[in-house]
Amino acid sequence: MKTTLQLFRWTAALLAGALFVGPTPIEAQDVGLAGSTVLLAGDIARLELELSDGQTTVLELNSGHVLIDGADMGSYEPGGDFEQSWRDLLRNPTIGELVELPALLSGWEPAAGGPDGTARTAILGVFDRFDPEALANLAEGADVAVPANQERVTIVPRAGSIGQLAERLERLSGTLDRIAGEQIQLDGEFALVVNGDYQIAEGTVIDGNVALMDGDLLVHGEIDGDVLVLGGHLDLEPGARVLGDVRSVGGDVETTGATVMGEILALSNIAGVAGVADVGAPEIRVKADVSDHWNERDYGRRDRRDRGFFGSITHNVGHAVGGVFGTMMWILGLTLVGALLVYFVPNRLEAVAATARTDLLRSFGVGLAGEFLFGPILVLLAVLIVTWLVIPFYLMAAAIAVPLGYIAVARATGEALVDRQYPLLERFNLNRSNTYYYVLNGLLLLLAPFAVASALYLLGGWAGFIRGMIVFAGCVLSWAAATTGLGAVILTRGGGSGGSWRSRRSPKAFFEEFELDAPAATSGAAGERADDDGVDDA
Amino acid sequence: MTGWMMRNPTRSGVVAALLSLAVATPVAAQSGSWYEMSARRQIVGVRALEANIGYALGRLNVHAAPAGLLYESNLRYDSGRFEPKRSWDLSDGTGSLALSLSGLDDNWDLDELDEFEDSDMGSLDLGLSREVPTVLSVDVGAAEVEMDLGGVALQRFTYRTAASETSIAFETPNPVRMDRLELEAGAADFKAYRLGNARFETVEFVGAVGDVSLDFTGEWTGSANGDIKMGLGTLNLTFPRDIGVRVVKRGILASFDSSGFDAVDGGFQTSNWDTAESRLTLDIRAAFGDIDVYFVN
Repeated sequence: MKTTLQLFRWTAALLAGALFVGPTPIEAQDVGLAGSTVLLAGDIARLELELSDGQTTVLELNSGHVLIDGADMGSYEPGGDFEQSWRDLLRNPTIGELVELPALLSGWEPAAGGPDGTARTAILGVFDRFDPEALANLAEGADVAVPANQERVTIVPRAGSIGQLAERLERLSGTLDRIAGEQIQLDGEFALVVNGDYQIAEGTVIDGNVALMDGDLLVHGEIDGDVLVLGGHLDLEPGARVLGDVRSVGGDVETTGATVMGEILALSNIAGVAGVADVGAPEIRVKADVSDHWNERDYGRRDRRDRGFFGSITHNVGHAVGGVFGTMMWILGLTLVGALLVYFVPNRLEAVAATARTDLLRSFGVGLAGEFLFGPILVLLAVLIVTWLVIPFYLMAAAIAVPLGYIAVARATGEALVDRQYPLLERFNLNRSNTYYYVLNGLLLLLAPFAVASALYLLGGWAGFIRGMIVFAGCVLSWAAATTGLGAVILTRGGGSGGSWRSRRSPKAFFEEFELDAPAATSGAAGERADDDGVDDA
Repeated sequence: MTGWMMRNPTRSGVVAALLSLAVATPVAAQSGSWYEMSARRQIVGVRALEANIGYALGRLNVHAAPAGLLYESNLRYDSGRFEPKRSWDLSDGTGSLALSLSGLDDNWDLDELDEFEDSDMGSLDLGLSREVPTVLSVDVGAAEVEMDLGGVALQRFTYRTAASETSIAFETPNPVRMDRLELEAGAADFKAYRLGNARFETVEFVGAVGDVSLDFTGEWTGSANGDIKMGLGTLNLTFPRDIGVRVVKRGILASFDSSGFDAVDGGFQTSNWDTAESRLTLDIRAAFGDIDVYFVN
């Protein structure tokens, strides 16, 4: 925001300068000076004098011709002494100061003789139009007449007007704010604004800020202010001094041997984005290597990611739906495997599940040991060459044991869930005493965290941490289930033996647990139940 | 499980939390625009520097600046995703520089973070003065960090990172004595080399999870002490043989390789402890993991 304010000040300074170069504040003079504007560019060296009567006189050296108010008044040798002295006059910082301008003009002594003589005569003839006495009066009255807050502005545009420069600065402020929020702190007023290449000679002191657009600035002298270069190269030669900050947009800054009291900052676009040009910033150099890399490898992905607000919502919904769907596919797949196990090896699955449920800690411990020993045993089988034939069976057994154990644990979990008689399960008619339902319910519970985590994508990025934690909890839960199941598989030898769940329970508990009718001869309780039913044992 | 289920959720959670915190203002992502911002300041009227650097994501490189410069920085960033902030203040000869790059987008996607490549993340290259005493503080989110602070006049250095791959070296001696060296790493791969050249009086390292290497070799010009706190992971300590080292280790679940040390009351120390010109005393607290010690000439 400060950038905007500062550049607004610059813009205001420019406009203020433009306004004060308007009608004269001087009173009662038939001719006097109200302001001056300088243009130095290439073959053109122009001085525009605004007179106290509202008229404007333009003195211009243009490609060997002296033009006064557009009329060709003579010739001069391009690059000769006369042009040089004329340019020196226009570069003089005091040319923008209304008070000293008459004295400066009247005191100007151009080179004489030769082909320059015509031009000299023509320009001095114009200066003679200003009555020396009137100029003296002007100088005396200027201090009173010029407002105290008047900005001192020297404009050196190659093309365009003050308004155009101001507009460019305004658009630049928008660009800088948008791309970086960069705080360009350029305090104070303009002393010099240049459009095009410019050089500040050794010994020259610019008292104030300097801005240069679309050109290179070569500094041998001193700038008692800040420097802003837009779209050009800034070269501070050895011995040059800048008392303020240096800001360069879209160009390089060379400061070897120079002194800069403030910070030197250069900002450049390295991707050639159209958006910068849209807001009217100066042309910014593109580094081809980075740009090519960008275009070839990253543009597609970048374009996909820069999806905007509604694109983000769509993206998040897609993530959530995709994640939930993926989890459901896992549940469905594992349920199918579980259904096959229930159908083909129901006793083994039941034995493993019962062991996992009734001997949970022991199963987990054995499973953990199995996981730790899996690698060493495999190495051992590989080292003992005679056991190589066992390795495929070993791996196959492991590959069967883990899913068998996991689904068995899911079955046991589902069974425990049903036993709890949760109202929610009853509502969805999931409380069915059926092994297939046990497996399905168990898998839904074990994999639920992943579905929940996926659904959290709907909340956007801020829920990322919670999502990560839920995924972590789901992974831990799945690992614990698989480990317990593996242990139960080992304990029951693949469900083939009864395992501890049978040996540790009385036959009565077993039959009660599975709601089976016990043989009457072996259980008094069963006999009593039969009696209760009114069946005559005899 | 699906791919995102199988990724390291802890690290992802840390990254997500960091980035969520880094983006206080939810701003819709603008079209990507890569910029390069270079800034430098000559040493004029500055007798001391306080530099605070914050960097969320990308590649961070810190080194000594060319002679005559107080600092130089080169920041490459995507203005559609990140926002640089800079400030400078000079008071009584002490300059205060703050430079940070934080995210604009509050919809960071962990899958996309995994897809990021170096060219996507941008970079910050920072040079610091060899001549002006500097208090440097660096906070890093998830970045690839490489620092050679050799030659930088560091009076104090604080480094904090959450989930970064960090390498900090002092290849040449610090021109000034450092009163405190503070290093803090979350779930990170952290390596620090030639810490002896840092010329610190006190060192403190706090590590949560990860592999950590602290190399105390270098040109020792005085004695120092420090605290090392390690959560879970492997801690590799490297000492030069010409300094005396005393270690007090706490934490019964972390193993400590005490070869090269003599057991003394309350800890371990090298046999040259009484004769060494420079001594380093470390108080190590480790919860789980291994502490391995190496001695080099």
